[in-house]
Amino acid sequence: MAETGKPRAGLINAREHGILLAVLLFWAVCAATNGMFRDLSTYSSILRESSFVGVAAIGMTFCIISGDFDLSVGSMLSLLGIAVVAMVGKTGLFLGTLAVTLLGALCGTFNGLLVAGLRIPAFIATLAMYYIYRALAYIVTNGNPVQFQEPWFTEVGNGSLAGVPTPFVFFLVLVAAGTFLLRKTPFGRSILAIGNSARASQISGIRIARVRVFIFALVGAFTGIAAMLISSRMWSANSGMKIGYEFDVIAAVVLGGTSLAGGKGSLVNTLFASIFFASLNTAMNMFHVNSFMQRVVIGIVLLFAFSLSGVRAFISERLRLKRERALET
Amino acid sequence: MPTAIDIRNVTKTFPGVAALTDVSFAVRSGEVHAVVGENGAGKSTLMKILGGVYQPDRGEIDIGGKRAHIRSVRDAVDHGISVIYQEFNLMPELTVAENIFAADLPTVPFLPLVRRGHLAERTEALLRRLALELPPSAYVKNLSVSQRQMVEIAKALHQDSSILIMDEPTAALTAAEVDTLYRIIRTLKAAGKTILYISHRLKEIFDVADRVTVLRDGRYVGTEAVSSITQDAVVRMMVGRDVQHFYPSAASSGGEVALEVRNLTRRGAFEDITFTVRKGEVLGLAGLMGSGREELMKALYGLLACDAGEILVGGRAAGIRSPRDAIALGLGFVTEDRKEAGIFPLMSVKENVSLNVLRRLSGFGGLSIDARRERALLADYATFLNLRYASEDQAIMYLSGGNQQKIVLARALAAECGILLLLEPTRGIDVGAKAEIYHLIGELSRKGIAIILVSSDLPELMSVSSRVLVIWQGKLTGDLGGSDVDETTIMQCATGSRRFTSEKS
Amino acid sequence: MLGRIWEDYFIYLVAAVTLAVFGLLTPNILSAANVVNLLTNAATVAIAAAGMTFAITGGGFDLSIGSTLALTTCILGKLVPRMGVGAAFAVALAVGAVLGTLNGLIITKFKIQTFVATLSTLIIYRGLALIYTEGRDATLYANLGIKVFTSGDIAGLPVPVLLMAMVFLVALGVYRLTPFGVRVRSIGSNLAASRISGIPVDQTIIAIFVITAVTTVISGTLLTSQLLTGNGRVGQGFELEAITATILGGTSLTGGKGNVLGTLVAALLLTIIANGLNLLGLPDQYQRLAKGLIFIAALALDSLGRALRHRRT
Repeated sequence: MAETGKPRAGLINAREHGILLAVLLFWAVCAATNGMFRDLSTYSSILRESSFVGVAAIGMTFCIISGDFDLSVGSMLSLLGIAVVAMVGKTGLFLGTLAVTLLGALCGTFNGLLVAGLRIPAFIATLAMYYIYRALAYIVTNGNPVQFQEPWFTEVGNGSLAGVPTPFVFFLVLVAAGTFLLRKTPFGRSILAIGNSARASQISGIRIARVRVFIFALVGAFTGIAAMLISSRMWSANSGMKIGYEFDVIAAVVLGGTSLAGGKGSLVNTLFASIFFASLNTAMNMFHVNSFMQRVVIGIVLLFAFSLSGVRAFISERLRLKRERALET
Repeated sequence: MPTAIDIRNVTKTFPGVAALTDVSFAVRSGEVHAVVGENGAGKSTLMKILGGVYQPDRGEIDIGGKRAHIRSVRDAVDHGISVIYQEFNLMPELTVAENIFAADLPTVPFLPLVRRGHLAERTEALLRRLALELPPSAYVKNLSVSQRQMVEIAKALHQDSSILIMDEPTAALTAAEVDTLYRIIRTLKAAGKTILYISHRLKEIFDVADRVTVLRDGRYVGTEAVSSITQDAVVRMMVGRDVQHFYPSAASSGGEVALEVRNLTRRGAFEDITFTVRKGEVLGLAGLMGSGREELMKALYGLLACDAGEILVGGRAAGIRSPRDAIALGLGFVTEDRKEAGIFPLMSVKENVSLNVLRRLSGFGGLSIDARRERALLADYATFLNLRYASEDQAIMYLSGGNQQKIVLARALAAECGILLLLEPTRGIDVGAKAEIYHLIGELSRKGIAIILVSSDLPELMSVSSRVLVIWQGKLTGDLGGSDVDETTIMQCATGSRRFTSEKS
Repeated sequence: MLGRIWEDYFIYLVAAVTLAVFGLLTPNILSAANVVNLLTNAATVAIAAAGMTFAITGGGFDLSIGSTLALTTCILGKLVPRMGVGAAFAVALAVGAVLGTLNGLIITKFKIQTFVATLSTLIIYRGLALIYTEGRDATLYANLGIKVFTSGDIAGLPVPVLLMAMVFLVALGVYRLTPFGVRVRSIGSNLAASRISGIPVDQTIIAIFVITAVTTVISGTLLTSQLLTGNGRVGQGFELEAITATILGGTSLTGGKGNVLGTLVAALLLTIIANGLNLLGLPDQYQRLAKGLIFIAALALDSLGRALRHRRT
């Protein structure tokens, strides 16, 4: 961090948007060494892929800024994906989107009530829901995948609008909306405030519990939209889909520079981080890296990113301290 | 007398800030040596250098006559230096004994098994040297601030440190506990230890120190024997100018009743409290620590619930159940715990000021914050409160304590508050900023704002307030106005040996 | 005081109640044969949870043990036919120790928080397991000596149960009686202060992660003995089960205060639930649901208990 805390001049600077530079650098290296990276369709594919994790990461960014996190998003995703696939034939796109968003918000609200209402630590509560949502998904489908019959629905995940992949359009619009929410609305400020200091927020009259529940609802809502995009792409949904998704989502948020200790974050950076991960995955495929080796590479990249992005031991100390305080208020 | 610490030409610079410049002085062995200075004077940096947290850019330090290179906290301990910081370095989930002996627990020969009985004995022996009654098996998290401090001192004793550095040791202690601390300091001194004592409270310096060194703006100003200098002279050295009207004269009372409290009770905290505050009045709340003043203030603001009684704002009964209710009724609250309950550290100066009034600053039905109005709000308060910051988007955590406190005040004021509740507003703030805040309190009262002030600094309380209430064990024992306000009467009421009510003017 | 008792023994109460409920619903559950069965099933998670207790007490988490588990099964699957159970087990232990040390080094040298560090190694170690077996199963056909870890017994007690008892005995001893135990609690309580107090923080952290890895290797051996296969995909979610048992058992999430016996009881409780639901004829997926719901109910009660004790308003 800059010692005086003054923001550096200029629209984009190395500190604030380092992840963007990382993406561009990575693209440059790939383009120099692999012909596929000089083809526009590759980038289109990357943007498409980035949206599947990225959309949910928007909600998760709010959550982490406020000092919480949600380990159940992968399980929520499976449940919501099943729901949307089952519904979409009867509701059409618009209502279907609305419905899955609301359903997601409902799940999220439940999470939020556990955490903010019953005062169960977020880690534990969402850990439990991680089991429960997936179990529900399994029960509802009896372990079988569900598919949809409407071919137009695949356009959502697989199509493009004016040359831009449809999921990415969703992603961009949602990032813009989310950024407006965070920076320009009183509600957004309260998210930041809670992540900075629970006690000071209380004194300022912020209804902390209410805001936290709402944030979890947002996480669920965004996960719902992601579920729709992914199910559309995969032509189906099942209870075993995207196991480990929550880790991908959290990784995107943290790689984007949002500290797990909360109080500060940027949706735009989450966007760039999602693109980075998608680029990495695509590159490894193009370079024919053994799929198992790919995991190792991703893990190492994550380590590298975490050691740089300032998530350090003393921040974890602050994190725990703040949780303890927040639990007391 | 041999020299314990010899500091020569020590300089330490951080990017953009010269924390210490060419500081030189000596601390004699076996003396209690106070170091005073305003915030930013460099005392804290100097202590951290002695404690091994920072390394000086230039200069030398001799300990006990020998050149010392203190490059880490362990180095400092090896040189016989123990630092007791304001935020203690204790492990709350460990016992007293485990905290003291953390690094060298006594074990059974050849086996990694802790000898618990032996540990307890040795701990008791240490505590006895300080004449302290603390069970070695008590968990530190259950101890009071004063008791934790004792554990820190016992740690220093165990490490056989010859030099103890105490950073604002009395900030959170009651008067009785301060006396205990003095006693311990004298015991340590008698045992030949050297003590470096940093404090803002000049009265304490004069109570317990032998000599005092003054730093200002990172430079050395002077060292004097406490017996041959006055408090005013020390202040002058600290501030570099004559501080006129160290405490501004109290504003006069009068005006309609802003807040009325009737028979307010909270079990275990306070009982049957009744008083009124008028517009433009500064009501001081005096009392010993734990008397219930803090709980009363929090109850008035809706942070704590009451079991009986009522609060009337502007003549009408107010059901204040949360800070939201309080803010809606025009109450503002500034707490003493700036770091944890005052500022939003990572948010900007601008955002810290505007947080309570965002809806007012927003267009589109309270949805979109108008950046221009937000900036204007900050500008207004920047002038009124004489705020100093590098940029309105600067994170507030980088500002000095005094400026941070003023911003917290600005936030409360911005909500057009008619009643301001101030809980230890000048704690941990240097003399210059303190004077500014007193001045502000006076101005605010002249504007018609009713102010309730809680402060453990009695002289400060007495001169800023137009009236003083005294609380003892949760009950109102004193209601003093005008010439009745004097230290003796207040202390008598505060210790429960007297009840006094002034004639209402 | 009462509060502390509640915190420490809460889990015993829950376990007793649960057992009683199931005992009423399915008396079979209390038969001697079933109790032995219960203990055996619990052993796999319980042993790893013993190690996790140290991690959480020390203020961190080891999210990578699921992958270590998988790698253990792969190592045993491939090496037992070649060098026998004893030698293969030794290799697995050694590899585990190396992985644990690696975790510890990443956390202490790169200064990365345990949560995200082990999140990353979770991915790496599983990748290693899959690379090692090329994604295929490593099935044991011959040299079924390894089965001793499931069905063997010594003096009537099944080997898994004995192992579990031994591990917990050692864990309890280390936690309560050794300076190392104090050091773990210390860094979990206040890391910075521990460093200043002269505690070898980095060493302690590395030791903690070696412990979690080694206990996981033991668990992995039990698992391999049951499955008779090494597979790089097993153990997903295993770390969360271990963490669940640890937290449910009363170890404080914020560090500094562990409850070794509580972990054992909690692991048994989770097995009781699974077992009871099995006996009730409930299909698998409902079991997970039930486990999750009981978990939440228990936590909610604990939370309410805490709230009642700290009267705010």
